[in-house]
Amino acid sequence: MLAYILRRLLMAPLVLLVLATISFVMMHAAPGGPFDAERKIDPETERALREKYHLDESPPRQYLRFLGDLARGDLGPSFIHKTQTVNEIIADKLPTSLFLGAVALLLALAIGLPAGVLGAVAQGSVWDRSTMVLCTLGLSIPPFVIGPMLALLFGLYLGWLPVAEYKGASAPSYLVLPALTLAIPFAARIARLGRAGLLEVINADHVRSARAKGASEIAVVLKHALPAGMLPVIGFLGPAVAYLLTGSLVIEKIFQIPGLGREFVESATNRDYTLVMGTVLVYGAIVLACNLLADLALGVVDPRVRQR
Amino acid sequence: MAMLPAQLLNAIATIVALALAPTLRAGDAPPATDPTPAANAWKLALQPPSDAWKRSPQELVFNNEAEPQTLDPAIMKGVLEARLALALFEGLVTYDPRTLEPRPGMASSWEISPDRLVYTFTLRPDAAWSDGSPLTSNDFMRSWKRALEAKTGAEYAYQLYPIAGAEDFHDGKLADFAKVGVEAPDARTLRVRLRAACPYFLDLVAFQTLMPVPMDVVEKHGDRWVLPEHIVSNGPYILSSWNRGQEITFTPNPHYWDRAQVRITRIVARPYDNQDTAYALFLDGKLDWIPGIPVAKIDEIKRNPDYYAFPYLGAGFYRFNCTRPPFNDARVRKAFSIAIDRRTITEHVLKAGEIPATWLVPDIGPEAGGYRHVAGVPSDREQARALLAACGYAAPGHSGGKPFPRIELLFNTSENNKQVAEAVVSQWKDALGVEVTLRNTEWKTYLSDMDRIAFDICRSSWVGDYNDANTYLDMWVTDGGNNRTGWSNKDYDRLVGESQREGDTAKRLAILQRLERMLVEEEFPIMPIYIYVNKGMLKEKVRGWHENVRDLHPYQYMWIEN
Repeated sequence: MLAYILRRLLMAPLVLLVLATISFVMMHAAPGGPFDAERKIDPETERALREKYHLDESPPRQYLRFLGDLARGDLGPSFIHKTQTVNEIIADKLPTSLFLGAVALLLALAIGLPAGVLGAVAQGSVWDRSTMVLCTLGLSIPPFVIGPMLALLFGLYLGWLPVAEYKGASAPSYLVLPALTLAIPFAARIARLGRAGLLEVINADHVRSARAKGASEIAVVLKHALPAGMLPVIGFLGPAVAYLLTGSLVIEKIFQIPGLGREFVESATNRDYTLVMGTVLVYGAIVLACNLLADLALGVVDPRVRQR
Repeated sequence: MAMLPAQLLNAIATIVALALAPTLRAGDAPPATDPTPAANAWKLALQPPSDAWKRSPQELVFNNEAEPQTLDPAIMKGVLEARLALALFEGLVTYDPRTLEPRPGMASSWEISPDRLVYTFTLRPDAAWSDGSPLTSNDFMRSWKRALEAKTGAEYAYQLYPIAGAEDFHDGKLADFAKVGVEAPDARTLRVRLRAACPYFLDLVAFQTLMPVPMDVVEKHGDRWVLPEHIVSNGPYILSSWNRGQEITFTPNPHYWDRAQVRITRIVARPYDNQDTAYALFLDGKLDWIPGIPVAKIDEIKRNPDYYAFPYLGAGFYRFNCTRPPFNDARVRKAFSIAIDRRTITEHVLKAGEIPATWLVPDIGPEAGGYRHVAGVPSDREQARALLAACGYAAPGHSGGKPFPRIELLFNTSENNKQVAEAVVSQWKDALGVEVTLRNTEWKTYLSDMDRIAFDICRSSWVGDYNDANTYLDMWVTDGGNNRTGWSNKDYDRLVGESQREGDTAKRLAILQRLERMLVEEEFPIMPIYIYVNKGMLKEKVRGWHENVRDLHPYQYMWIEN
């Protein structure tokens, strides 16, 4: 187990390096550059700007410079946001995205798990069927439809919650709608996986024997069926957490939340090479970490995984 | 020359003051910091009619549509940055909020030599930076030098090119700034020598690239000098906070020379780039002004009394690739241009009151030079078909001819561009029987293809840099950076040069119209479609906000009145 963790940790920098290299090549291969504009930039000014940001050097040289700076933890200046470095932009925006993602994760678990468990326990009931219908809706309606609908209903019509905007972690009312919008598809997935997982084990030998020993149904489900039944959910949580933490760009745009997801997309359309590289690396690291953590969690819960 | 423009302005101002005087009540007089009442008269018309505004909280919250890339007036290039520059900085002259004609700013007066080549600005004695230190003519010298230096990266440096030697200095052909036509004989005088008469020079002087920057602060902090902890500015407002992704706030500059004119005590600019969200926040009362709307909801929004739309100094048109068949033939270009019905597009696709245009240059009011567009060629499908047939192509109603080659229309991905393109392409099919494929790409790819002239037809637009037709006409010279059609015409190049040397206003306007005629009546390197409108929403409580062709709204004339 320890060797497995070590191997994964050692692989991580290599994976990130490959990721950075591919991004670098793709970014530089994309048509246009950071200083292209509808008004053609004059050649002298463009030369001066390219020199300032070392874009006058050959791509391999730029790549080596990037690696050298990266080794020192410096992701360079943004070409577009003239008053900030990439490090500062990430430090500024990442916490907001992480916070939003964390709240959404809690919401997704708080909604999805009970719904799934109850569905499995009362299989075939009205409750079970209606949650499954809701799950299908939650999975199939995209967030850019759900978000504005929630904002319209709870913001404009009912006036209970802010339509959009973000006022920091200390003003939670502003986070409810975006976190909910982000959480809904994940809650639906968790409910489905939880229900299916639980159904699979609810009639397994060890659960049956627990029941035979006269344990109450609640104790049977919670103590004996749930841990094994939740394995699919835990397996899903790795990629899900990574997605919740990194995939909130649509929600950030709808609710105008100053997170990193929007910077990521905009940096690509702006050809802000340094910011693209910086955000790709951060997201890559988050995905790797989440997958590793999910694998470890599976190992803790499932003795079969520990054998590896 | 009977009167110089500055004197003429004063004379007009006096007349306006006399006309308005009886309607003004005692106590409404604006703060008289200027010793000559006549010079202030234009401002009387911009004051609140009563004291009712004093009962309302003077706060303006508006959507600035994105995060500014910088607040440095010399380096900024976008409309949204310019909106913030109007709060923070002020040039030698400022814009009249109604007509955009030049009004005294840091300079209390100016004189223009009879040959119109030398402008002598006199700075007001109380011109100051926001830290209280005096602002002198030398500050302008240093700021303009910086804006011209290529290493500064000021993409609008060309706004200074009418100054003698400025372009050479920028290009490194002139090393000594002392040889550029700017001098400061004393702390309150700035003398500017032009390379040729430039009727819109005062308009350029008001533009953000020519606004002064505090060079000591700039040199000390580099690109970060505009952050709230460092910035020193000279406009009606100072920067009090910059919370990225959330808000930028401004409060009145206590050292601004016209402090008493400034009524709004807090301005909040929000960076919301989603028009639907901004619209929802406007409806929710969280924003007082949104300078853009979600165009998909135009029918609903038009019914809202807070909606506004007025002509803008912007034009939408298509470029033809004049370097290869079929559009290297002016007759084919003309056929395509006269085959479409522009009114259908403005009324059924754009819907916000855009002006269908067979010409390129938006009209410019008499206060700011004045320019009236040429007629262009109206829609004529019969003639369009005849032209195609004359070029040897098959056309409906004409026998024979080779089939028209398959061509592409390039546009950058946007719902609006797509709808216009689809409408135009279907009209071409109806009128000429030609098949045009749509090709949309993301922004930078589109720019790159447009720049390399890698298209047959390319959706384009142009927003004027200053109030003069020249901003629409000098770009089409042979190999001009913004030409991007491959079109080249020796007569056109020569006439552009002539227009820039012509000192007589009427003769110059005639040359400019001749140029426009070549573009839209004879040669058709482009196909004009419509003149833009500014569309947005403004709460009724925001007063002193005036419509003008460049969508410039100086904050010192605004107030809130519920």
